[in-house]
Amino acid sequence: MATPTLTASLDKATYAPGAKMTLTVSYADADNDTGSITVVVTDAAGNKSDPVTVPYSVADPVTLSVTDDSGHTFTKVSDAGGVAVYTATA
Amino acid sequence: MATVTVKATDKGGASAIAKVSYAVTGTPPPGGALMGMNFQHTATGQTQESMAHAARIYVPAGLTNISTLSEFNRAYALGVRVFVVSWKDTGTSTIGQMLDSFPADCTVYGVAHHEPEDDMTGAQFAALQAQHMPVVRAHGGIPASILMQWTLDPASKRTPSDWILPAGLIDVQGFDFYPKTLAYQAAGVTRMRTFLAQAGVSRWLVGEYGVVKSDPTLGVSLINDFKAKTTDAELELYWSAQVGSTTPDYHFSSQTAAAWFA
Repeated sequence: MATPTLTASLDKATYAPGAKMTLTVSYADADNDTGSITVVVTDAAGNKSDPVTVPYSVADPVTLSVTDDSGHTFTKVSDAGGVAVYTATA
Repeated sequence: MATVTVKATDKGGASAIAKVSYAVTGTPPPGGALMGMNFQHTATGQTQESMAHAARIYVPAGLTNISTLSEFNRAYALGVRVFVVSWKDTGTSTIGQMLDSFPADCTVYGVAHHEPEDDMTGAQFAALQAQHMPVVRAHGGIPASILMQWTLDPASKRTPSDWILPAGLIDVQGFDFYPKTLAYQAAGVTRMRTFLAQAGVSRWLVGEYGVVKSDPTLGVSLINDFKAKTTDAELELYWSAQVGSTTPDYHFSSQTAAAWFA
């Protein structure tokens, strides 16, 4: 079981009171569910094609939590599956 | 310095943590609001402007580029990055362009027809806000409404609930207040809090506050009392001006400015 990879960055190092803070979180998890789909086509006479196999990988869900030791509340505004964006008011 | 901690947990329970730190500069005293003042009706500026952490600016009709407004340029040059901008007679497309023209490091509260008096009804006010506030939000501003405390005073004969906007239309409620006594101030603050509760809005600001210049001793007392009563406001803006010769002179004195920005 692999540990998720995670990075977080703010758009600035310092903010004026009341300013919008944007937090970008990039995450991934190597523990994906993998499998394959095999397709065989059969015609009316019973002739079968060679099998074609397509592998797939389904990313495991990752749960994110964000806390701030100064009491600011970060709200998720988007999550594109791998990159999540949060904002808060300084 | 504050720290944000992000934790990612997969379905198997494995987790990773990332931390990122930041600072909020110009932070007011603990528990206090961000203090500012008007940057208008002061053709050449006032010495107190250099003490301000926030600025109130009136945007004339048709203005689409904030950098053409001397009041903005004066405040920005002094390091102000938090603005309360208000307008009366301008269109929604103009508002969007004006808000887009602010530098990226600015926080802007947008106010349409601040301090409505007897020039429109509550229903007309709400209809205007329904047009303008979504534009403010769409262009990165903070939708806000500012009423006079007088509107909440029974002596005004107005009905405060007429001025409550539909839920979600604004993020911040503001009030203007010119108290003359400590007793009236206490009652006024209570009325504001009652209105906030009825409107269901928790974030609030003071768009204008003023005490008469002629009695700085009373003025300092009022300011200190007001600040103590309103520490949960996001920001408070003093109105240092006299508009017309028949209205009181609310310009800062050296004593009241020192108290306001202390």
